[in-house]
Amino acid sequence: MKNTLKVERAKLNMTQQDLADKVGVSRQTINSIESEKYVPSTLLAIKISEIFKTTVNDIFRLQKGD
Amino acid sequence: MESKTNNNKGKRIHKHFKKMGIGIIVLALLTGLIIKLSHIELMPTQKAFFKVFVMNGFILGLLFVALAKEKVEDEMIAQMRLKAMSQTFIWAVLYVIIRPFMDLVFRDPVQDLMGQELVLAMLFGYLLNYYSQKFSNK
Repeated sequence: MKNTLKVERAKLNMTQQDLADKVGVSRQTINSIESEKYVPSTLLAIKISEIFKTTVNDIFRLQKGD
Repeated sequence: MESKTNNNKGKRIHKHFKKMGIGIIVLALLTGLIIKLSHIELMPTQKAFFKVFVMNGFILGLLFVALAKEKVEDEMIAQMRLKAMSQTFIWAVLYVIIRPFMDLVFRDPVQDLMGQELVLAMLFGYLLNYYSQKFSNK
């Protein structure tokens, strides 16, 4: 699953730790999502999209084979 | 927004138990080493007692490390724990199957597998798997 988390974060000038604190996970989890090693749960994806005031589909996109 | 899904926060002990667990492991190791290296003449009952003490100390220490909470116990950690647990279960089954054959090759005759030995192997397997996942995700 592709995501634009890094871009969205950069737009708001937010660090991984800032985002992690806001959604209640560790910085490592945010890093793993950005590097596409970990696919977040629906709940976490919604929390992240709410932080960036956008929809889940705008941040997370399915890839071929997903 | 608090949800009970994906958090798996139950059945975890305080993070300080990790240090306590390591302390117990070191203590058990030191006891075992001192007894082994000092060549003290022990009676069979004393020998058995110290063996149980060292083994149980090791198991308890590893259990504390395995059950202790992380600084942030989130859904990725819960997923890693689950993956480590399921893989350890499979390895434990394979260990029980393969162990008698290893005995036949290296230590004839075949010895009974002790529960403590299996639990120790499972805890080691779980922690190795969990921490290798954790550090590869850093």
